Amino acid sequence: MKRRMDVMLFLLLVMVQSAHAQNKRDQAVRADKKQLSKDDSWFYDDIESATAAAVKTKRPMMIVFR
Amino acid sequence: MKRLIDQFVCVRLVKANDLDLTRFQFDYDLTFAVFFANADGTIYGRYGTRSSVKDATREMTLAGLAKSMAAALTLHKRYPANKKFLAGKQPVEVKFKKPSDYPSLRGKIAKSLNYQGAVTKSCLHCHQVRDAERQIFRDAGKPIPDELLFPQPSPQVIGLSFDPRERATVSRVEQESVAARAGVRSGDRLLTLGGQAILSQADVQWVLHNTRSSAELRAVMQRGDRIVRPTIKLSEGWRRHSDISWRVTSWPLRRMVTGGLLFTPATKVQRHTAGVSDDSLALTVKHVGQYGPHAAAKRAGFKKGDLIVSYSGIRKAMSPSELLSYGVQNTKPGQRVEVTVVRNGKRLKLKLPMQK
Repeated sequence: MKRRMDVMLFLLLVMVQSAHAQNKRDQAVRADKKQLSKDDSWFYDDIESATAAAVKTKRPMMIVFR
Repeated sequence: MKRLIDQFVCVRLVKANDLDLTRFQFDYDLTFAVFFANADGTIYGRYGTRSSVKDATREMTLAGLAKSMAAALTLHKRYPANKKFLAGKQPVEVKFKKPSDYPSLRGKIAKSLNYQGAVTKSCLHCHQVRDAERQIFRDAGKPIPDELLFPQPSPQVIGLSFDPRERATVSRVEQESVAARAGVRSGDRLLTLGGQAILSQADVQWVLHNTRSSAELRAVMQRGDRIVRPTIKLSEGWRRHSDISWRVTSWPLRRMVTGGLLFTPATKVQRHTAGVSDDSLALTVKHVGQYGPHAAAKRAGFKKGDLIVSYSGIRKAMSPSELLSYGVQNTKPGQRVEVTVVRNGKRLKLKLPMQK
């Protein structure tokens, strides 16, 4: 019985830690989107609009995967 | 940098869910990769490299990126007169045009990211494209080809290291290497390789990635105030010297052929204690996977600290990278491979299940 409780506690701890890490990463992605969306010099995850802007301005594209 | 950025239309892509694989071909293990391109899709160059698990940006600097950007702007000014010169930099033909075309990813990819919920879970990571490519071969019980197993080889495979603060300046030439035999010297600035303009180390890796198993690569380099033209001769199997163990995509390979074990080369002391010579296999188990198919080795009786001295009858020295590549090219899912380990001074024979 004690061993079963220990295993359950361990699994619960792993789940909580994993959910916490996941949550932090999700927050970071949302914050990053918010910040870049405010920056006029960057298109965020929109290759079509960026391509249209490059055609219009005759500038080269810098496409960053991050 | 701001002055340079303003001369580009900048776009940040954060997911591979609907990645156009006919256009964006790069090292999918990177956490930072850049394309310089014309609006018509013509690629001027690439930027971004990596060779370490822990430090993803060790070989990249803002100074180096700025120099690559400046070189891309020069190519753009000369475009389209230089279009023929850029031919080798363009994507190659691929069978699968979108990640969702791969059998192992079909029906599993969200079309857009769920920013309101678990956004990272809704994101397809770039490395999953390479995983899916390899999975086709593993599922069919076929060896994963060298080109897929050793993608975008580091220039170190031919004995070259580049200065990350520069565009493509050689910082070190390994003695007795292919590059050393070709006469390349530290301080040489690589201008073209295989007829392609080189904007960065990533461009060197693109050339190597698309080079056959045996080939001669002509380089044009600036050495001081003169131009030198060494020929780099690549012999059969050159690609296999690449280290793939740092790559995120080595994770599924470990599931397939080590049952979730993570190795590190044995120290001299460990070798001596176990009575294993320098030219024999000696890999220490650094980590034993605990869950699902990554716990297959655990279930088979492997323990952290075990010293692997024989794998499927192979006793010659192999690095962790070489063992992974040997495994996925010489075993099939369903097989059970005999592995000899040294534990507390005793030799044990264990059966390791090969998996999909």
